[in-house]
Amino acid sequence: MTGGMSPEEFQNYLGLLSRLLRLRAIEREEIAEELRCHLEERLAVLTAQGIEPTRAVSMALAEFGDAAALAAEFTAVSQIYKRRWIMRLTVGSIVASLIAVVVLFAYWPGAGVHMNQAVAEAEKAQQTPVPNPEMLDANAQTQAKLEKLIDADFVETPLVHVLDYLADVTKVQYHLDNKHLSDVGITSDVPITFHLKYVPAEMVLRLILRELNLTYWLDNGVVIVSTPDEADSRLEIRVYRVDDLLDCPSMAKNDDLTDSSAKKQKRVSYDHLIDVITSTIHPTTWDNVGGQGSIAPYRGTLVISQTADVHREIKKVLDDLKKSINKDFEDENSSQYRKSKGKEDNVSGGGSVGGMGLMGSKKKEENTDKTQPTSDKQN
Amino acid sequence: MTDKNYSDLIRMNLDLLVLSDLAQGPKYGYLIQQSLAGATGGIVNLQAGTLYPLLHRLEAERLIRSRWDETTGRKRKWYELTPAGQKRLHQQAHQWREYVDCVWRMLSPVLGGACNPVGGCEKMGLAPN
Repeated sequence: MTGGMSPEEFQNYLGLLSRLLRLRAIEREEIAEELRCHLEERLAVLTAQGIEPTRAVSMALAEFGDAAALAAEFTAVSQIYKRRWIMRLTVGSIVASLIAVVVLFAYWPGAGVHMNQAVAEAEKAQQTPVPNPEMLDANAQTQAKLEKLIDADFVETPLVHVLDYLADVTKVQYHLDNKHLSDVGITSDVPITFHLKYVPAEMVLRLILRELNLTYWLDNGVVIVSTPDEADSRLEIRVYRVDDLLDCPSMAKNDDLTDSSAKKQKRVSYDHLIDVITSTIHPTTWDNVGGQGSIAPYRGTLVISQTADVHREIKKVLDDLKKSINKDFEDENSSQYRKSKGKEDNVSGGGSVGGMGLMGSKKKEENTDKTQPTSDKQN
Repeated sequence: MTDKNYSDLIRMNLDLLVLSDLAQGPKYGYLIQQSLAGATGGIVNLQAGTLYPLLHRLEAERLIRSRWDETTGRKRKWYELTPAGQKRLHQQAHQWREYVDCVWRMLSPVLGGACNPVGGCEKMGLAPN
């Protein structure tokens, strides 16, 4: 018969169990909390029966058995979740690949070259983007990994397991800010039902969190899931290269410009670009109207202090602006080429801010005979 | 019966007993342990080191679900049956009923009691006495 144990043995046992559990921190905490509740209730019953406290502690702990064996049991259970998601990922990938092949055969019969190109592009899009060697920042690398296209099929899946799945497929670390989540009544096991296929992991994460009125930000490459209030209190300073926007001709048609000097220069100024950003992206959050965000030019860059959500939108707008500028350049060069060859220029010139639509037109133009004039499609 | 069969039989028993206990309403771990001991007259005395991994496994198999609740004045993890768990409980309970009736018929001469099958043996292809 074992001797008595002090109540501190409770904590020692739970601490040992926690260290032996090969699970995420939040899972270890929840298991320890659940077992602590049981131990305390059992201890209360035993002492109420007149059993001496130290002996009651021994008896209560003995019912749990060896910590290592118990930890192994819990770890084995967690493998059930992982096996399920690996199976779903495998099946989803196979199904997606088969559907892609069927579609390609259906819509490109006999066009072997085009089909090979489409398959190659689909495979390239499915690969995890390799970070640009210039993107040494951990957050930038994580952002690139979150662009990976995935299938998401969840039915009442605990949030923590959704994040486990995303971590597996994106090779990114995730952290739940449980302290602030509990403040708004959300636990890590809140059930998630969500179905989307072949979309960026970032989109899956953002939409799922939006349903829970949650958000996320990046901290040293780790995705932190928390509340909007907490995110809004965290300002990040990021530097955006805009020299290519500043050195290019204005996006607007010449006649649209009211400033005569700008007409002559045909350049986008810092002030113009800053005005576009602060007037269209969360306009009430900037310091010029009493908000916390700030923006300042510096040697071909914009240095911006804002929340993670606003930074995401700024990046998208700047990327779209650059794509639009590139399209305008190509149209202008194409027009000059046709003029120099004595052909009529029927390109309408000027660009509209867009994204994929303009890129789609660009690709089509590359694949067609360059002697054929192509009308510029406005979005 | 081999050791493996016996351990599988016990394991199936525990799943069925826990599911049937939760069919009466949500409970937290300690309450499940006490409820089973009380309902079986102390025959099923589920140790905590067996109960909690079992509960987590049933949850991983989506037969039960859990939620933390503090409305009782203490933060506890409550478990309840899912629709899948309800379905599994009914399936296993009926299977057990057929099996028990059939075994009872076979053991009746040994135990010296009358056999009173409820169709279980016929379904297994055994002729009644």
